Amino acid sequence: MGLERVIVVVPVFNEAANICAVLEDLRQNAGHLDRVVINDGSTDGTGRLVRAAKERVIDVPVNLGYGKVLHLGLRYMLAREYDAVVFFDGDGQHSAAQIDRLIDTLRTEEVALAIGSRFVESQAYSGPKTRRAAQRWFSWLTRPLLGRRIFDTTSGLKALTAGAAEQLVRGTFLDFHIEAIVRLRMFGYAIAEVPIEARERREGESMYSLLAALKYPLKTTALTLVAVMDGLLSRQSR
Amino acid sequence: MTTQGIIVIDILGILLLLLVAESMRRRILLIGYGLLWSATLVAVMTAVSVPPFLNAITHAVGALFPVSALTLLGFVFIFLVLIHVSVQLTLLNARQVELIQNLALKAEADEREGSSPDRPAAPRQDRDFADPRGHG
Repeated sequence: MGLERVIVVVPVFNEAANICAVLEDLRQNAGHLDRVVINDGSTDGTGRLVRAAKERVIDVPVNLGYGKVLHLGLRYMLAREYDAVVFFDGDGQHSAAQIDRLIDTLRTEEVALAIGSRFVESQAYSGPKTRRAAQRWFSWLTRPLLGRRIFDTTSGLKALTAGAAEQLVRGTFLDFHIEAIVRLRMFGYAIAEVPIEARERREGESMYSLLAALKYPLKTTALTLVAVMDGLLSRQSR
Repeated sequence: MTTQGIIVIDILGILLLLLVAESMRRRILLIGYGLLWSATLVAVMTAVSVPPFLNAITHAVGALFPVSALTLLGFVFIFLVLIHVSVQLTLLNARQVELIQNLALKAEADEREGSSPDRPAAPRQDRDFADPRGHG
């Protein structure tokens, strides 16, 4: 699979404490790839820091939320005719040295989505208990829906081909987690998990509040079922 | 219903019809919604003022008493209106998100073109505000 042009999209919201280190990591370990930061209405000067670092940035005028920003990233990579996109969190949890492994997986295994998985080989990454419970629930849900278990459905490090991106821009998503995975599988796209190591976030606060920890599993489960319905109806109409 | 009750409801209905008409005139109520509420008011006033009409509705929905029929129809009506409003809100939200995304993409494209060697960069306003906002 020819993936000549790949872009790294870094969604950020109030990551002034982390963004410089993240950008330096990307320059050092993935400097051969194009990259763009999507600043989701930050109020702590993140946008200024990104510009001071002479990085490409898309400023969103009001905070849209993580999922909508990823959707914007997909629209951007399709408009600029990239062959693949890598989403890379701006909170310092990921290592840029692992990006090439995801892209290689897209090429060699001919999959449409390569997920950087924190749990397929190790359970060392913990995170908040509520988040871990939700992650386990969604991981469990993948087996009956997809016929196989996806261990990390909430990873922020993932690589997608342009074909997968075209499918995803048409759907409705919360955070592009299990609902996106299920949608791609229902429409016949292959998915792989690539073991990665992730750090706890370096500085700042998670975007997931306690209220979000309660709402998120319900909304994501509903969106996942919508993706299943979309896929089944699509197969019926073919 | 007593004659007094019918008169009170009809007067209220007419006042509400005038309110709907004035709202449409001021363009604070879409014509479609204005027609819907007008038709609803006329239907309620007719049902109250013309007993055979109300009895026919009661019989049609299988209720024993007219008040039961009106309650059931009222519930169904309110539910449909709320579903409709929810759908409209969802559509508005989707359009808003698309507009915001288009704005952001256009601003980035303009900035990239502005920084090309052939064109001087336009001065950029810093959009980071001091007041914190919640995550969407």
